[in-house]
Amino acid sequence: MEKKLIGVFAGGYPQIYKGSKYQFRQNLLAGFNADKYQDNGYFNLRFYISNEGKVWLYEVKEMDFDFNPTQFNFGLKE
Amino acid sequence: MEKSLKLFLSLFISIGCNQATFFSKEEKIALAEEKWKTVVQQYLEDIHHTQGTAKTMKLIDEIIKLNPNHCDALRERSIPYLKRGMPQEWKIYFNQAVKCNSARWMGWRGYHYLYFYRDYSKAIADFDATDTLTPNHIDTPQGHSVDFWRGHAYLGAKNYGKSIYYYQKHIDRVTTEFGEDRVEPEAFLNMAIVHYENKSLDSMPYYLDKALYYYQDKSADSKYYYALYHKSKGDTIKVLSYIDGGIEYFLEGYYKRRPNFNEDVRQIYVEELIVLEQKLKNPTKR
Repeated sequence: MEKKLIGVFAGGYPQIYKGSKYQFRQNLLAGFNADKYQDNGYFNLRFYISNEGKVWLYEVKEMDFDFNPTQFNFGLKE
Repeated sequence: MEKSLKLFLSLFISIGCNQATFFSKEEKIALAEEKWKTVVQQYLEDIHHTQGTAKTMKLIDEIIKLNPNHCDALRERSIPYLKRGMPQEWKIYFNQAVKCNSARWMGWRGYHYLYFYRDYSKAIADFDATDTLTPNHIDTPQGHSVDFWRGHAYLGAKNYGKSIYYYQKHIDRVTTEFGEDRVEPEAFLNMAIVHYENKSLDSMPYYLDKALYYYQDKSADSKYYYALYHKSKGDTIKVLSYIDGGIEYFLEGYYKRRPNFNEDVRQIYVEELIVLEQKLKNPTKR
């Protein structure tokens, strides 16, 4: 019999992965100074991750708030 | 012979592909409806909620080809893109659904902007518009009233005055029509959060008490915000007591969150409670 998924995306925390968006935010903010940049928009990362932690098929998209393609400052992306 | 066979096959394929053109408009609409029932049935049977399989997307494309005004199918075509983080495609397809049936899908678009993209101004614009489209009816996209959602959106946008106005409007209406016990406890909790951020802290206990009463005391969020309230009053013993309760309930799963895709508005994480507890227990340690 098929088993129901335990959880997906944000709803999978804390059953299927350690840590949370809290840590992600802390890590990001630790090396980020918003005052240095004027750019604004969505920075969209898409990827697959296997149950063994292998990550592949990256897609990176930079968009303004209307989802039009844009280019952020290189330092901001880094 | 070979050439004529190729011609025959290509004609056959061409006729096969365009069989829908032989149906009358009414027949096409009926056929589209039949296919739509299949899509719905597939979702009901699919325990993994895998919207966007090739099978379903193909069916949805067929439905739209048969009946370009099938607003539900137009909307459904957009959702897999939304859930997979492909907003450019989502926007094109969802806007087609809104154009097809604005009264039905405008509020939903606002809900998507609110939760998936945290675009509070676009969300508010859609919630306001759907309210104007149906003046004598309170719309409930995704099961909650637009007033409740507008409370969320204005909280996200840090427009606390309007957030309080819409949460109160929602609470008053539900209380009058159905009774206070039918109001989402989250409305009371979020009212307390708004008052906390708005620095009108003395209004917090009223709403936190209501939230704890309707959550039957099991609410890590309410306890966290009660701890923050007592912290502002300098009552460390009460803060620690509420934090303890908060951590306990958080670990048992009693905290505000959304089931799948995204974080709730002002969702808390247990780490925040632990950090606050450590700061109070070891005030000199950073």
